[in-house]
Amino acid sequence: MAVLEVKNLNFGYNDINLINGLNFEVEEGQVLCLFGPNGSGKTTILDCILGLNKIRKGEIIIEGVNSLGLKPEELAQKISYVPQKHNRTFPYTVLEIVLMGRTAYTSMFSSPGKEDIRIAEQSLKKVGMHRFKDRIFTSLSGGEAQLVKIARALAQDTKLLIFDEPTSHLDFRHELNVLKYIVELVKSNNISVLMATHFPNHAFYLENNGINTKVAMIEDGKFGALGKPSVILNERNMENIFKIKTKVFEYVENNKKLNYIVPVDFNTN
Amino acid sequence: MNFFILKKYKIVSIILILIITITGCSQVNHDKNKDIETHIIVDSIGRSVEVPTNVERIACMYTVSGHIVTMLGEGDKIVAVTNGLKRDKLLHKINPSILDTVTAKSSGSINIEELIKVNPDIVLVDRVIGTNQKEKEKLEKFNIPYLIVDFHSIEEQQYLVEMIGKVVGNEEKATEFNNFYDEIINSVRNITNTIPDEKKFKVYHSVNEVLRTDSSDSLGMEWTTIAGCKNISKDMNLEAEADDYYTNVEQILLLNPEVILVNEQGVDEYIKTQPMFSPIDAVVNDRIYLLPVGISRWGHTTSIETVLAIPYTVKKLYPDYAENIDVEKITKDFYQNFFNYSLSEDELNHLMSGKDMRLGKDETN
Amino acid sequence: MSKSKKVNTKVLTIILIIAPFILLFVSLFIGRYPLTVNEVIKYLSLGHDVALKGTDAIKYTVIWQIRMPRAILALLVGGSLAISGGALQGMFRNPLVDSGMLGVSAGAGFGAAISIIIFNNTIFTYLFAFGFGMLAVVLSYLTGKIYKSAPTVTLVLGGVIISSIFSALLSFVKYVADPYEQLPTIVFWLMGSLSSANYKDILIALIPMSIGVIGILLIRWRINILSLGEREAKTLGVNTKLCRVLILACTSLATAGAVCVSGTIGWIGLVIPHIGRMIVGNDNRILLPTCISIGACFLIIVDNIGRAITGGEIPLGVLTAIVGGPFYIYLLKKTRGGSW
Repeated sequence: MAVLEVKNLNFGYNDINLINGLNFEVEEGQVLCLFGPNGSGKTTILDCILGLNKIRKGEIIIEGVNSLGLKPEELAQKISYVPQKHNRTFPYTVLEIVLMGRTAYTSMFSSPGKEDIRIAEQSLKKVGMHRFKDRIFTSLSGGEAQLVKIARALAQDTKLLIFDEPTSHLDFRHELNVLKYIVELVKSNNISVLMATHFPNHAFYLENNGINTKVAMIEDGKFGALGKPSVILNERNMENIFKIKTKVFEYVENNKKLNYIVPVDFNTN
Repeated sequence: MNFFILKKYKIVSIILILIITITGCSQVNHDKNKDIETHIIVDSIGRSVEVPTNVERIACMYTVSGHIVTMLGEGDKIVAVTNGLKRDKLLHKINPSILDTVTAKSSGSINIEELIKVNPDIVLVDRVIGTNQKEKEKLEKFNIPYLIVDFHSIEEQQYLVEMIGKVVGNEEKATEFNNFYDEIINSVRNITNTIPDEKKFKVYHSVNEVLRTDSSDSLGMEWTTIAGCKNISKDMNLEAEADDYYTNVEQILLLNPEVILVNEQGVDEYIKTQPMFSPIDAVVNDRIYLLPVGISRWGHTTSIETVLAIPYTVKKLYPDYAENIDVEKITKDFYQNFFNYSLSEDELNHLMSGKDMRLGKDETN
Repeated sequence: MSKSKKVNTKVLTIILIIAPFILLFVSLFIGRYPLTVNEVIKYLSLGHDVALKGTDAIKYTVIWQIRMPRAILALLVGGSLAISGGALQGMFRNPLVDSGMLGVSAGAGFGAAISIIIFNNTIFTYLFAFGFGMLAVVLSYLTGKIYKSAPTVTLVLGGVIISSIFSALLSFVKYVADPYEQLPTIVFWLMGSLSSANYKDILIALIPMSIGVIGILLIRWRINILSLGEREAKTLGVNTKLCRVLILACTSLATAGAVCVSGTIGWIGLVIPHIGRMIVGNDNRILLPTCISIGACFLIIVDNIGRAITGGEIPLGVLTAIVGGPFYIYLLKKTRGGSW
């Protein structure tokens, strides 16, 4: 069964239509990468699904339920979100931040209880950040902060996780670390991921690691192509959709065939 | 860059020179009193001022000055007043022409255009305005002579009446008032001298507000003492706010007054109903008295009817000793002699009750 | 290490709970009327509402009708203002916001002033202060809603606009007020005073204050979430609009309730939450109850200073600003480029 089904999604501001009739679905244990350059509409699509943007037409069905009829806390029990950047705010501790992931399970006039704290600590352990729990969140490095946000999403205990550029501003080491945890979480918890990214190699990395991965190549709010990374992330599609020349390489390590792609030049035609 | 700054300075200085020249000219233009006969008058703070001998148009920019001018029989010469003078009901009966004058002062500031419109020969101002540089400049710009009206004791009050008598040219009446004042004080002193000290009441005098009271060198302290009160505020530690002095509830409880005099309608009720005042002797024995209000609040720091507050209080507190004092007669005679106004029985009772003698804000125009 | 920390937390909790009551007790000994420790305890032990005569009655009244209601009111007002300020700072993600930000104080000041002019009756003054305080909040909220985007910013803007309108109206009322009779009353009210505190005032103010404070305490976890910003709060499952309205309503009730009996007392809603953050951190679950305690203590202390050092009444607004002002500057200096 599909965890997320998007049918005929339409969205825009005033007289401008940004997204015209988008259809896709994310299955259980599957990662869908929305791949495209900055400004192509990736974040807009995520915001529609998260209920932050009011859609004009279409349906968003989460675990078989139309999301329009869901209250904020019901929606948050089905989808968790790892934002690209975190607003600077009061200096909360790491545990306090992760505990906020339990909000959807507390009623309007109550606070998280002992069980919620246990779940929050467990989520921190899953991403290897438990020893940071009393540190001030705003004092963490970008990579550490990203893992804490993932822990918060885990504490939210949802089938679907949405990432917005999970590795932007991270160095190689931390980028790898975050991707490694995403792979681990999808494999061990059988959760689904919808991820916006402008790095095609993220999709290859997930596929290379044996995850059921699909990639949607987005340009101007439309899907130029949708399918497995090894099938559609090729030189022809990159040239047709994004007008850049690229080179896809293949290499073998530990008897596994792995792919990666590098940019070469602008399309000079 | 430098050139521009230089240029800016030049422009600024040219503008400044122009302003100075223009205002200088205007001063010359308004110098109209040159050939008029004048005399020197020393005002309440000792300034010697050259004032026209024959004053026809008076601006009363301090409420009590309007009372005194009216009392001296020259009320029709008033051309501009304060808001307060437009609110005293009895004064309007005595001197209806007050209602036709302009109001040229509000919130402690003179409206100079309103004032010059009525072209006053002399302006009577309070000490705050008379010592404020900006307010003074307003008057000096048009060369209008002004006198500062101020008092903190009976003696200064009498001097003021004498001074205004000179200004309006009715020194006789002024002397008559001051003699009357002296007579009242003497006759009351004769009474209070016979009262043994232990029989004199401890009195708290509330001025407008519950906790506002008399400082030890004030007119309020002086007249209440003459009237035979042991004014407890003398022994208090007061907090000064501009010219007003405030105490607190604990000090009142500590000194436990036997009588409370109030001059603001409502304050008496407040004291009677607040639990925190309930054990005070004055409350227990129901000795809270609302002072009468005539053209002003009797015994207020700015009232010339203090002269009536003294016999009223001694009669109220010590009726057995003050048998010979007939407050109602003194009151009727006072308004008859000095304001040429005959109080009806109703008016007298109304005045003595101290209630509703002043117009509300919105009723003035 | 974690054990000693827990012990510290417990000790701190106990201190925060009992400190206001200790200060309330201490303030029964402070004042112009000389009373010995034995006397205070004797009259205190007689309980409330006993009929006595003579000096006995006076001493009894000093304790039960003057010092006690005053300290209780200081405790309630200080706590309400501090928790409201803390809640609004959290919600607006702005440490420089205070409880009067949405125009409550300005509206209440104006309401009190016109009531002093028209009725000159304390009950009406309370009602008008409260009514106009709440009206100002509603107007600020509606003004903020004119703009569609970034609700937190526009709410602050709405508050600034409405506050300045009410301040201007207040200036106008002061301008037309009788300088000898009404103006001193208005000015004194505006500067804040607990001098006329009595049990009736406490009961009047207790209703809106307790509704507001309890409401804030119940919703305090949601304030944590709102402080992350609109996007994150929504995706974490918070009905941000409803929450914001509830918080605004509660803080306004608590502030207007306090302001209508004590006049405008500034700085507490701004400064106390920061002291709280230094002691217990930023988690509103712990911070907001802490604010109540510290705010209550602060106002009792300030009021005691006001009562003890002079014979009259130094308006509380003056004292809190003298203490609060320099502290505010210190905070500004400290937080510039800091972790906020």
